[in-house]
Amino acid sequence: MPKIKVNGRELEAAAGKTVIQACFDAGIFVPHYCWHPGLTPAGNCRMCLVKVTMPPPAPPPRGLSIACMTNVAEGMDVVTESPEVNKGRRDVLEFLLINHPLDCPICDKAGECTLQDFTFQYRGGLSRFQEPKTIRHTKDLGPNIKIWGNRCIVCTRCVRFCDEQTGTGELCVIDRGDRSVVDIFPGIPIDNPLSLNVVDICPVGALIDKNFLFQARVWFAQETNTVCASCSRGCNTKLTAMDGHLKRHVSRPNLDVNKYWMCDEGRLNVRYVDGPKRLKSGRGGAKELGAAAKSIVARHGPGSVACIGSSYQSVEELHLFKKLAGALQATRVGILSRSVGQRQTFKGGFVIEPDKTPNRAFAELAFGADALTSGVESIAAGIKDGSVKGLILMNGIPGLEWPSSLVMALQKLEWLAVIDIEQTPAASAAHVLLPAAVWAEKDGVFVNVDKRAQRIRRAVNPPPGARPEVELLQAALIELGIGERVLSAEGVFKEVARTWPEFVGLDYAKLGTLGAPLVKAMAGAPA
Amino acid sequence: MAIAFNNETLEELERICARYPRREAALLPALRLLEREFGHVSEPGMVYIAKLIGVSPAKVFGVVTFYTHYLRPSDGKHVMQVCATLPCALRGGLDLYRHLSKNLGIKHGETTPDRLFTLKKVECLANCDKAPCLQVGEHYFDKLAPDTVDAMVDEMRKGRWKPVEMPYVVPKTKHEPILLKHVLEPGSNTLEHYVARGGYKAAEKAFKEYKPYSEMGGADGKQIVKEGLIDLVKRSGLRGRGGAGFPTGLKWSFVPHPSKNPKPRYLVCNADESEPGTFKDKMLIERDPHQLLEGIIISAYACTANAAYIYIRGEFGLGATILQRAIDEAYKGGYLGENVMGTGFKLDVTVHRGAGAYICGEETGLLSSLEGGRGYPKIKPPFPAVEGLFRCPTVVNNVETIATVPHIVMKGVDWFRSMGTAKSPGPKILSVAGHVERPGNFEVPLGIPFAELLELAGGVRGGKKLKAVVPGGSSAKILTAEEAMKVNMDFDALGAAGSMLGSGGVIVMDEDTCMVDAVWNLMRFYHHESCGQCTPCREGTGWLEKICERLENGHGREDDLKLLYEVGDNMCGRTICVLADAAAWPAQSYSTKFKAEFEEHIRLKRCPFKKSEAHVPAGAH
Repeated sequence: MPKIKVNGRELEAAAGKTVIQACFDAGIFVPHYCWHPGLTPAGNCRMCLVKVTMPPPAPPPRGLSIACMTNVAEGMDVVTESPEVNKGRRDVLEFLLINHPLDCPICDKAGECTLQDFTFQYRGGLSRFQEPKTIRHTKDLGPNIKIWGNRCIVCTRCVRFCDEQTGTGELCVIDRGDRSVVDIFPGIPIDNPLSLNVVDICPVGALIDKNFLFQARVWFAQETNTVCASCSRGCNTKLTAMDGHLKRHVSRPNLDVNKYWMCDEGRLNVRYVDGPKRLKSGRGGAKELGAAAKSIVARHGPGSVACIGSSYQSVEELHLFKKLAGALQATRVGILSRSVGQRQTFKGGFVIEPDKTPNRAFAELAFGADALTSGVESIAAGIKDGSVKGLILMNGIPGLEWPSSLVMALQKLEWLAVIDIEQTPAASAAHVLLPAAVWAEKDGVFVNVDKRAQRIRRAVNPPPGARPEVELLQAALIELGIGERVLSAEGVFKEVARTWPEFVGLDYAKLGTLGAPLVKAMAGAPA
Repeated sequence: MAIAFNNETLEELERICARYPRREAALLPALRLLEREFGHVSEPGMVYIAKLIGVSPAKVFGVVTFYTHYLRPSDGKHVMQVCATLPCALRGGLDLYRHLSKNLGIKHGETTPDRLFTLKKVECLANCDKAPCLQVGEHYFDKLAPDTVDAMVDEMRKGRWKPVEMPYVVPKTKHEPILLKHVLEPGSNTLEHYVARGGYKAAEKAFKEYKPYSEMGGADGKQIVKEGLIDLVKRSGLRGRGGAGFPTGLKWSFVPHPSKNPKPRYLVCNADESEPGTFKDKMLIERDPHQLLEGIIISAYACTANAAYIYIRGEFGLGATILQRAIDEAYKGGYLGENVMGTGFKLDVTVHRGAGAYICGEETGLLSSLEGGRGYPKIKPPFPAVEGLFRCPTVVNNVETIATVPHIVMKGVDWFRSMGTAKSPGPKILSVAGHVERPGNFEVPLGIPFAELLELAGGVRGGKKLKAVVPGGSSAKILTAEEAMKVNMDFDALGAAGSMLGSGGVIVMDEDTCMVDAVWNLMRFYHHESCGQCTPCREGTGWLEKICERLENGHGREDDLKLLYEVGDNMCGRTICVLADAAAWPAQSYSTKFKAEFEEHIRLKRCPFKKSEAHVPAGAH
């Protein structure tokens, strides 16, 4: 491991790493555009200038080096901030700005643009370029992506992404010199399942997500770290919300889960949160749920109430649900889930899981694999043959295709309670209907397909009539004589950690923003 | 109409693909096949080629739009490409363009409604001694005047036009030519002619008397007991003739010894001659290809390379045909192939045509293009000798450099060093163009005074006064007349004089030349040719041109000279390759050495060489 010095501080860097990677790993920021830790380096923006000196007998350095293409070597001395280095950056910025349109007032990237940020940091506002600017195209590149070519700095991050990560190669640079710009083959749009990552990685406002275009100014918005709920990969993400509404869903790095990326489906699958199908008002309340369920059991005996949950619910919710099932002597428990197609693995290693729910791993742990495979069918049969009189159905899966056996059976129930997020056939038939919160509207924990526990966080409030399920379930349990007060999700998680050996020692602080693997390996699962 | 190759062409494509270790490298040749079979490169054609080669259509689109030489569907039957770069501009190239434009009724980039003509201004065609010149299809046409070009267009309109090959001229001087000795002889580009004059004897000698590496011995094991080829060429002092002047033997020695690196090695001959003012390699290729091939054989043997590629600029279509014919002759004669001249050494040589991009003359830009991509130079280090073509050890040498090697092997180091200077030994072909009486290729010993060279070229045209000289291709810093008349033509003398020998393209400018106009012409060249990869060059070349345009057109500002200099400074040494430096050097040197003239443009708010609005001075636009 070569020992190097950066700004006087000694570092050990793995051999074969570049200076910028070594700095990045050590938390030292070097301004850059074309470099990205998840892509091969290009060395074209020339922004990551640093002063590199090797010990004698090496000659003194001539000028500055780009950190992204300089490999670390024993004894290397790197300076990342100095008058000389900063002048180099100023000069690169000057060149970047001469043809760059003054689009900030209409550009989505404003407020999170490193061209703006570094310009303010190193240059200030004056330009000495007084010539006609070069004009390049503005056009659609695909169903979700539009390019403002005048803003493009030809860093080629997007081109490299489509070559290296998806292997689809839809993007290219056309023409030469200051006419060069990113484009597609005429008539072949960029349309792969990971396409919108190129918008995330565009350092400027050239590539724009049409779904986010003109929707929000980032300085009026709040960003919340969370995890995507659209499949069991559990990509780490950030939700951007403004005025209580979700505006955007982007990825954030987690080297153990999704590296730097997320898929378009997960990214765009937030429209239902604000959608017209959301349940905003119900019938009855959590107390009534508890009381009515108790009376069914009293009249018809153990096993007369069944419980159906889903693998979309959080660890805390499923934990409470299990308590509820136990309190109601529900011998039959089913778990709804949703799987589509096959696992998709991309050239760069990114994976989209076929399981389109975020918490199957915990559902299996809590209720057993049978609950997922045959639980719902068994309950439907029980309703049909009259052994199941009452059902508590806690769904939460948006746009679920309901098993027809279950939908038909619902009519036969004596009593049906539904806790859900959307208007569904079950909701219409329910005696007690409790509108619930979606993943973006509550705190909680999901366990992904790799048995990693990760936190979701509330980014927006649920609609006025809806409540987070942990509140609803605890209110029902209190009605059944279990528990004394309603705890927050964090409080419930503390109970989870005391109950399940796999969660021993974990709490919200430990899970942080990157999550943690479960403590004890679950049967047949990686630790 | 669906685009599809017939079986014969598909087989031809497969044969081409087999000459490269990676299929993507056959992309540029595949596009030439498309152009040949269908008359142009169209979008459906690009999709078809993408599938055949195994890359995405977008990748092909990026490649096609990078280069200027592929015919596109909008091009007419006769694509009239008028050279607009400085050496031709100095001799009326822009007048020719304007005349042709008027005759055809179209402007640059346009096609006549009957689709008979497309008119294009192009950059240096490497034919500067025959300025002003024009390319139509594969053919070059020299020294055009309004009446001759009108006659040509007339024939074309009547459908009777037949291209006539223009003759080569090599001005005779007191210096005995070596590389150019036989170029004017009929049949000089055939194997028969070459063998009859002792051809391939040097290769024979190389194989018989030399190994690539020296045998070392002596008490410390560091004495050369038996000299190898690499050390021979090192000792000769041969320096690269393409522009950088890097010692050739030293470059060869950077290739790792085969025992230290098992990857295959490649020899690449840089035949992309595009430095404005340079036109020596074209002659060597077209008139003495076997001399080059013999040099390739010896150089490949020295570098332990079993595959060589000749990257030839797209415009040299005729040269590519002649080279391929010579290569075919060489294979048939046993000089190439599995068993070169019975020695057991294997060597395959492949011609790879470029498609119109100056940056593909930069060694790593060339390699990127050879690998099937846009001509993007690569970051150095690693240097090509260690990691080059297909990430294997690669030596890239200029045509003239390689063609000199057989002479060194045959006649020895002492002979070679008897010419030239100690640090710049040997003969050099200097391409002299611009305002001289007898432009042409002059093969002279390195180190001759410029004053003598000027005399050999017949002095300044029309008895005018000398004003300025570009000594080594357009990237070289300009010399005033006074400086030029005092300097010798070799690497070190010109370096000491604040310029460079470079490619040896000498451009002479007389007293009627507007230096602002001249530098604007060159800035347009670099702006046009910048690959666009890195920020300072992509943006800086455009900025430099825009400033020079304003200066020439009477809109110069007080601060412009300072700005020009500083923009140049912010480009030099800060980029992936030296095209940025090559653009900055003229901008800085012209505006410094002819400062008064630039200042006059600013003060007068017009070009003082323009005698009237209608008058276009002997300059560039």
